[in-house]
Amino acid sequence: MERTLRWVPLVWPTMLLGIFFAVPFAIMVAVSLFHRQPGGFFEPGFELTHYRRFITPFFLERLGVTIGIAAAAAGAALAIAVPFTYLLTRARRRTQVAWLIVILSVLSLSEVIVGFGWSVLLSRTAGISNLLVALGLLEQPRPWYPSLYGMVTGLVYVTLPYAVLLLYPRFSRFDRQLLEAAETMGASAPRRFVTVFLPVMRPALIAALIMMFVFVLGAYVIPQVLGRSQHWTLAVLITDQALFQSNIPFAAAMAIFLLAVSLVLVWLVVRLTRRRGA
Amino acid sequence: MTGLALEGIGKRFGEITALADVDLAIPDGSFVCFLGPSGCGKTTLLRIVAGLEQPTAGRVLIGDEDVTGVPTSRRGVGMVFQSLALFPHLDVGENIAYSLRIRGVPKPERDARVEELLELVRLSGYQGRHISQLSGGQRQRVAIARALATQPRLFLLDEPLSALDAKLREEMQVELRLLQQRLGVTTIMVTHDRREAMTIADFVVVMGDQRVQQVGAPLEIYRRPRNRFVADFMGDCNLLEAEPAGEGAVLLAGARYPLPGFVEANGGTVTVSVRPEGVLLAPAGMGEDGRGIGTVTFLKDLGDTLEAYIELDGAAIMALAPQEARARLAQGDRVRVSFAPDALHALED
Amino acid sequence: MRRLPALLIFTLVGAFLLAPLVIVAGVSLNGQKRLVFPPREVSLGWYGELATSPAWLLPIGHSLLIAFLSALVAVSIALPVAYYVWRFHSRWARALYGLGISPFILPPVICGLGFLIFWASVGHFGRFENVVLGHGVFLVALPLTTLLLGFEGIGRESMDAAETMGASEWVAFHTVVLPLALPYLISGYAFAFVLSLNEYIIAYMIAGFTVETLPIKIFNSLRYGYTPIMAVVSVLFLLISVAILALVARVSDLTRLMGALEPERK
Repeated sequence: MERTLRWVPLVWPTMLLGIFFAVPFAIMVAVSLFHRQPGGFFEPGFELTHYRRFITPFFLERLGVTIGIAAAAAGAALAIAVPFTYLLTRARRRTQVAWLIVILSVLSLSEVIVGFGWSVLLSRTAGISNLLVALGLLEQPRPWYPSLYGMVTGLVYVTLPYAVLLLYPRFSRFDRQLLEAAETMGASAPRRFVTVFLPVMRPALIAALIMMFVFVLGAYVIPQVLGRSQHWTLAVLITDQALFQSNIPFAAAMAIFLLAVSLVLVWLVVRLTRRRGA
Repeated sequence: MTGLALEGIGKRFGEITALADVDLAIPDGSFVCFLGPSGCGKTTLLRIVAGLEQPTAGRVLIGDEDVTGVPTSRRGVGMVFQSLALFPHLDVGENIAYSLRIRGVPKPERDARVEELLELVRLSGYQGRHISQLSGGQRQRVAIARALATQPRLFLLDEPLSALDAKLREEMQVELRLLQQRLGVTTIMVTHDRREAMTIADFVVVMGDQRVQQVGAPLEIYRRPRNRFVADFMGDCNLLEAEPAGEGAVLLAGARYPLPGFVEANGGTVTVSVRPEGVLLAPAGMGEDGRGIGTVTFLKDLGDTLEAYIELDGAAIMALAPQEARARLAQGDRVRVSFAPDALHALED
Repeated sequence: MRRLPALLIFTLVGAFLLAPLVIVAGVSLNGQKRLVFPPREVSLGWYGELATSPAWLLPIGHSLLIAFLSALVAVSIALPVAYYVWRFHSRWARALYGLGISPFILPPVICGLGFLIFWASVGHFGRFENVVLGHGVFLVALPLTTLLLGFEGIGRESMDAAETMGASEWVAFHTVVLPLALPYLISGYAFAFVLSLNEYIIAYMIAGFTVETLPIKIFNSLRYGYTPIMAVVSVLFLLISVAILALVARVSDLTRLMGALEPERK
């Protein structure tokens, strides 16, 4: 009796996570195999039609664009985050806390607000181009969005704080004596960073890069606000199919595809960090 | 009356045996030390007494009550932990009053008891201090006071002094012993330090290899260890192979030495132990030869005493001599080795 | 001189991170409806305007209420799970932990679609409580990780000590564990609150057409062009987030929370 009662507190979490997370996923898997009813929702069935659409040029193009954009944004964000986080973990504690608040604020900032902010920053009337005109570097102000670069910039902006938070724990646990040893052997600060720090941190960096890639895969608002329609990512496509084309089975199939890709990548990260970590 | 009795206690973690077949009876009001090297099972045994671990075999009796299945919270024990485990979110007074508060003791009564306990551990007036404001020794006292708050039937201490520096540690040992004598509470302390156990305990339970090796008064265990393990663990000890030489005597390096009470068991050699201070050295006469004569191989000055290493018929013996002997001894000297009365002791294995 | 590169990188990253925020704050002060920077005819007029426009106040109310409730749901799920993982190494709790962490790692659109299909299937579409539950489940990962971190900071001997002093499991939980883990509980709640406040895609897919949250409202308005109130509410939300996160930094050790191993002593 007492042994059974002991597990009562887990009933509530089990119920909530089961009903509102596990069940929806199961239904989604089922629906991806259902028959689409044009004009309505869907009806039970078993067909691979929606998965077959993956090999159409339409889908493959979206997939290529999504992967390319995610890779570019994740790579750029990592390139900024690595030296920044390295320096951050060496800063005084108060400085670290202040930066962490800024980083967390930006990370939690709605994609909508970020998109809006950058759309102002890249606009013709209020944006950076006005600053360049004032400095005499540009003849007249120009709108810099919608554009591929504007969009990638926005994505780097949302990914950067995530990258810093991914790297921060690993970097702050780095054994500083390794750097001191390198210093006694005559390595300059940049040299120590490149020849000791980066190689030791390589698994962590790869893991972070993959996590960031998955993170950008989920971007939805920024491609729509800052990009052109040909830059729209898979996430946009899924929403569009589900809400505006009323093709929920196809949306579900794509979501499951995205899920599978993400899971494989995350699994890769887990393996990577487990083997090298410890 | 027994304060605590353990009957056939065993503990297994899967395939691994943590404790095997422990039988023990501790008289009420005594101070007992579980002594042994790390990994010998002494902490596991203490945790079984506290109810923090369940034994896989045997019974635990406190007083005469079988408490084997009783949860820790209802066993009426007080325990001081290795990390002290003082609650950082409570101040000194609240830490000490914790057990009273959860038993619903009214505040005025609690406050009075806290004051009393603080006085007992010589920390009067420290009620409102934060734990982080205390020194190591003060924390120790708070932990002790906290464990004693409800006047437990058993007072358990898991290496509580191991984090203190040597000087403070010795002070605390004396203080703890005096406190225990005053309160008369049955006390068990786990330690790996034999000096600590000798200083403090009425009885020492020497543990090794997942079982109890010997139980007895500290001096008894020191002088008459039951086996090699105990002899070794209780400090520097000479272990010598001897031949039985009839009743009450053994042959060592050809010389015959009295060993009162020795009865030859099953022939063959017997291991005898002798503490370095029981070895007596005398200059060997010029003409003397052979039996009982050894050579000084090394001398170590320790200030107050002198350690002499002797080779006696292929066996190495360590002797502890008073500093005055320095004048009479030199490396390479031949010396006559004898033993103080009662210093020789035959081991069981 | 050695610090110069550090200063340079800190400044550049700082400028990059703050630029869109500064410009949004700037344009929110424009007197006219036009989008210009630096602001002209600086005034707080649009802030006043917000106070009298229900079209914006309603979504703000929705967002705050959803954040308040969904963070509560998230913590209520996370607390027992994290405790059972820490205290009993329970396998079931560990499985729940994995389940709770996963929605946060995956692209949110997947969860969004899952919730959309679920509510459509049970015929309870577009309701307020759906968003609360959706966010609650989606954000469980945050209190889960902070709470587990908090529990791990409590020495196991503290629990043993409480037990020897007569505390039952439940008494030890609310007299020792909960007070010690409280900062982490608050942090977990706060993170979940802030993220719910700012979340767009899941809220949109669950009930975007019926329950307008602030991010949804801003995005919808963006399609029709600029209005300074967008900037005003963005600034407002940013301030709320910063204030809450600064509060977290005050009540708990932010560097440890973010995974630094040895926090310096205060």
